[in-house]
Parts: sequence; structure tokens; C-alpha cells
Amino acid sequence: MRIETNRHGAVTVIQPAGPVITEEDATQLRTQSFEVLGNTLGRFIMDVTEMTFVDSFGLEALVEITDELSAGGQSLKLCGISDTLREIMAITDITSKFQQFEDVQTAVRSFL
Amino acid sequence: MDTPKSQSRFDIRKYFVRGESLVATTGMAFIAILAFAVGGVVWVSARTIDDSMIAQSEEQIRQTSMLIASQAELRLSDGDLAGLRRLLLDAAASGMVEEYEISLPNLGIIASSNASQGIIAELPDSWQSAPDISASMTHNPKTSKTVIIEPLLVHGQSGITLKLVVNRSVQVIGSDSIRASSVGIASVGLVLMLWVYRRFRNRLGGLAAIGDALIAASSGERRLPILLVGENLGLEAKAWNTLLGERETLEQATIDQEIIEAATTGGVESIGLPAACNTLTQGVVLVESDLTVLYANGAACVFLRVTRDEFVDSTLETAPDSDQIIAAVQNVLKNSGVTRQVLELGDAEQAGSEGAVLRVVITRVDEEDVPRAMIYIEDVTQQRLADASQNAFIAQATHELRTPLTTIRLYAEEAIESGSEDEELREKALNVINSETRRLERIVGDMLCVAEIEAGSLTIRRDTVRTKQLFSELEEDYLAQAKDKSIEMVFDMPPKFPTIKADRDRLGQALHNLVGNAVKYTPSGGRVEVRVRFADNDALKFEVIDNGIGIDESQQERIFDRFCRADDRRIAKVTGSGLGLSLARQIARLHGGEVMVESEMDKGSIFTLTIPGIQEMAKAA
Repeated sequence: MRIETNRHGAVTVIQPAGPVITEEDATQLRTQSFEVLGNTLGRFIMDVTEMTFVDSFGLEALVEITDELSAGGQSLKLCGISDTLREIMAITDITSKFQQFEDVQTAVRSFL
Repeated sequence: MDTPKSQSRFDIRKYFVRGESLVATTGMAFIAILAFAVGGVVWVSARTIDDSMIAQSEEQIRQTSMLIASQAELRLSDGDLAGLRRLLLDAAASGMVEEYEISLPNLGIIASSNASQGIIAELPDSWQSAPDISASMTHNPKTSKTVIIEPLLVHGQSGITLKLVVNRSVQVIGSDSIRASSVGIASVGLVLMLWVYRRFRNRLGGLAAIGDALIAASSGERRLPILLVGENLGLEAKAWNTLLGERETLEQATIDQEIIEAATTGGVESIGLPAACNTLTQGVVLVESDLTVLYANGAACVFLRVTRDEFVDSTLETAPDSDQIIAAVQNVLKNSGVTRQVLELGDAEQAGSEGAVLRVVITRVDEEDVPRAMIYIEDVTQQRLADASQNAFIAQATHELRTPLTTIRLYAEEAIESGSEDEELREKALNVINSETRRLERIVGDMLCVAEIEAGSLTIRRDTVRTKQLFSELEEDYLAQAKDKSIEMVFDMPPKFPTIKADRDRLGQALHNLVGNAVKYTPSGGRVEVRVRFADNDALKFEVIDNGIGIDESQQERIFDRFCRADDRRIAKVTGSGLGLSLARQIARLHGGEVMVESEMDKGSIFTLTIPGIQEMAKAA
């Protein structure tokens, strides 16, 4: 899995590309997200447009990231959620743990 | 459940305090058994001794009587009545017998202890035999006297009777002493037992009462009056009551502390206000006048880079880089004229990926004359960056608008003043005015487009766009500009131009921005190539290739942000709003496509705009 990071103003966008289906992928996603999260005080978005699929490892990583953010009163902002990911999140009943946005710009504007 | 009958039944236990019943019952039973055992032992012992003494006494009496009888027979056989009487007198004097009498039936008494009775002087030669008289011993318990009848044989002739009366009580006097001693010892033992019982009854009662209380406590009883025992039950009872009292005090202190904590953390722990505060994205901290942190929500701990465990109940100084906040808090708390102070920590211009701009509001909170400070912290980094970008945009836009307007005004004045005389000058002025007007139109169009994107109201029409016309206009617009700037401009067009479904104006705007940027940032003598290709499904691939200054890798994504321009001193003098690339990408994305960049410093850049074919576009829509 490839993870790209870029900034929109003071907001950092993490873009994982590819499926998150192994423990290594999940660890990489979690580690990189936690690092960004700590540095930016939570001004952090995950663009999952190219995250084609997640299994339990990936879901667990996403939940851990949003739980970490919730300590500061925030939650993980996801944008570009595919129908597959949306369905997986609904089945596992974790949709309410995340904020969902249509695209990166909308998600970035939520920090204003 | 107790029935009325059982409740009314006599219960001796109710007359005792807790534990007393057990001790009293056990103690009394013990004493009764002990007394019974001692009594029994004494009785059996005395009875055994009595029986033994009586048997011994009877044996002694029997032997004495037999001795006296044999001596009497000897004396009588010799006819020595005087010796017989002396013998009996000696026996009486020695206490061996109390009374004595030797008689002949129908002839008189030979010897008697009763001096008043007449006695015969000599023993007759013959007397009537009485062979049926047998020896006997009769005891009278009332008088303690034993009567012994002993027949005597004198010269083989019976009939003479010896009667002895012996006082046997004298013989068993030792048994009474033992009995008295035993009773005395038993009595002393009983008295001692009673004394010990009375001495320890209270303390045993205390222990039993504590045991009862512990059993009640193990059953869940927590009420203090139920668990307390009587103070008169001894030291253990007093100690138990003291422990219970201390426990009650400790529990009360704990409750008081919880009340204080609840009061200082909002006073409404039960309705979850602190939990609600933890969902705030803004930080909230409540501090005492000595800077002790009474409460901090999760966001505050994130902003101040502390953990809540180490922050709450410690001082505000625990938070790193909190000097300005501390100074402001002290100012608000100590200066009664200041009830609110606002700080802004951090610099938006310098806020990198790890920086932040925090807006801190300190408000004085007086509660029952206790001054406290409420610190409200908000992360305004993105707002400040947006403000800064917007200010830069306004300044840039003003400059962008002013430049063509100035040019238009100057050429218009010149055309008015000398245009009627100089046809060539008038035509040149009108051309410049036309060109600058179109530039103004594009700038205003970009600004409107930005406003629409900001408002989320930018929509894409699906026109039928004749691409040949679109690219011809583009070529026409920029060939002249490139020539003016001495730039080699090449348009590499496909042999056929299909019609596509797109928003013609927006797509044209995006293409203009990409080509315009290439011309703008490519120095004189450079080269710009525009390459257009269509796929079989009419998907458009539009590439702008220049050999200009290039873009640093760290800036390649940032240049697509609104109002942002690459941090490169070489473009400082080049005017630009910082909107072009952002708009181009937004427009491409609204068509389901994308704008990408590949660039290398000092070697040039390739911007690629792709628009999917009709089918893919329909899916994207």
C-alpha cells in the first residue's frame, strides 16, 4: 500500500492508495496517521478515494485513529468514501465514529 | 417470617444486650455443669468414705464384741464374776462400748453398765438353755448406736446373752471431715468461678457483640447504629466503635471530596457535563488562583500537549510553552479591572505542518468570592491561513485589476486625445484596450468561479463542445503572446477533433489557465508545447509542456491550493492570483477528470489535464 501526504493550508491530507488487507498495511496506516495526528493537533483528513478495500485490520486501524482523535473532541474526517467502504462501515456499525465528506475541499473547509 | 405467636413467645435473649445472651447462657451452663460435677464427686467420695468407715467400724465392733464375748465366756467358766465386771468396766471406760449387759434368762443380770439394776452375786449351777438365741448386730441411724447381741456358751451351756451398745458415730467422724473439706473446696471453686465469670463476662460479651456485628456487616449491613456495640462491654467494644466511627468519618470525607470535585468540575458529574465537554473541539481549562488546574477537557490537553492525568491537579506550568497563558491568567485573576483577555499564540505565516495558531480566551470566574480563571482554547490555524491567503488574494486581485485598468485608461486617453489624427495609434490603442479587457474578463471570471467553488454552487453544464473551435481559439490567443515574449509556442493537434460533452466555458477557462501559466512562467527564449490527444472513447488528454523554471517537488501539490503560489523568488515579480491551477483542477474534477503535474527544477514542467469519455463522465456524474 502506498500512502501519500499533502497539505491544504494547515490541514494535512493522508491518501492511502490500494487495499488495506494485511496487518502490515494497517500498521503502516496507523503509524503514519498517528504521527501526522500528533504533529498537527488533529488538523488531519484521510482521503480514501483510492483505498479500494479494507478488511478487519484496516477497519481496526481506522477505528483506533478516530478513537485517538476523540480524546481531543474530534473524529476522523474521511472523504471520497467508496460504496464498498461505506457498506463495510455500515455492516460493522462504525459509521457514526467518522465524519464523512464528499471531497477533500469540503473536508478542509470543515476546519474553518 | 416470624409469626405473631413466635414473636410473643418468651425469649430470654431479649433481656440481654448483643452478645450477652450467648455469654450468659454458656457461662451459666458451664458453672452448673461444674457445680454438678463437683457436687457429684464430693457426694460419691463422701458416700464411699462413709461406706468404708461404716464397714470398718462394724468390723471393729464385731471383733470387739467377739473379744469381749470370748473373755466373758472365760470369766464365766471360771466363775470369776468380779473379773468379768472389771473387764466390762474397762471396755466401757476405754470407750469401746457405751453400754453392756450380761443376763441369764429368767434368773437375772450378771453384769450391767446400768448401776441401778440389780445383779446376781454368783453364777447358778444350772440355768435354762436357750439354743435359739443367735448373734445379731442392729444399727439405729437416728441414734447412731449399734446394738450387738452375742450368745455366750459357759460349760457348753447356752442361755447367757451378752448385749453391747456401741456408739458408731464416733467411729465415722473422719468421713464427715472429708465431706466438709470437699464441700469447702467446691464452694471456694464455685466462688472463684463466679468471680472469674463476673470479671470476664463483659469483655466476652464485647467480643461476641463484635462477632455479631461482623456477621451483620458481611450480610451487607452498613448502617452505623446497627453495627455499633455497647460501650460497657469492654475495651474491645470501645475499639470496635472507634473503628466504625473512623470509617464513617472517612466515608463522609470521601463523599465531601466527591462533592467538592463535582462542584469544581462543573457540579453536574451525574448528568455528564464533563463528558460532554470532552466532545468539544475547543479546549476548556479551569484553574485556581494559584494556577492549580481543576479541570481540563481532552481538546485542551491536545492543544497544550499534556496528558490529562499529569495536568489535572497540577499547575498550569506543567504545560510546555505556557508562559503567555500563565501571565494572562495572573493578570485576569489579580487585576479586578480585567475580566477577559484574548491571546493568539503562534504565527500563521510560520505555521508549518507541526505549527499551530491557538486563540486563547481567559475569563475570570468568581464563585462565592473564590476567583478562578476559565481558559478557552481554539485552533484557528486554518482560519488564519485562509485569512492570510484571502488578504493576499485581494491584494493580488486588486493589483491584477489595476494593471489592465491603468493600461486601458492610458490608451483610452491617448486615443481620445490624438486618435482622430493618428489612425494607426487609434487602432493600436483599441487593440490594447480589447486585449486588456479580455484579461480583466478572465480575472473577474476566475474570481467569480472561486466564489462559486467556495459557495459549493459551481455546476457543470453538459454542452456539445466542438473541440476544433475550442483549441483554435486557444492557439489564436497564445501564439501572439508567446511571440511577444519570444517564446517558441507549438500546438500539436490531432488529425481529427471530435465533439465532447463538457462545460465549454469552464473547460476553456481551465485550458487557458494551464497554457497561460506556461507562457507566464517560461522565460524568454523558452519553449511551450501544447499537445492534444483523444482516445477512442473521446476521452481528452491535454498536455502543456514547457522548459521553464520548474517547480520544486515540495511545492508541486501546494500550487493547486487556492490563493497559493509556489515559494520561489524567481516568480515574485510575475503577477498572478494563485487561483489558476486550483480552478483548473476543480473544473477537471467536476468533469470527472484530473489535473496532474510532473516537474523538475530548472528543466520545466508538464501539466496534464484529462477529461474522461462520455461513458466515464456519466459514471462520474
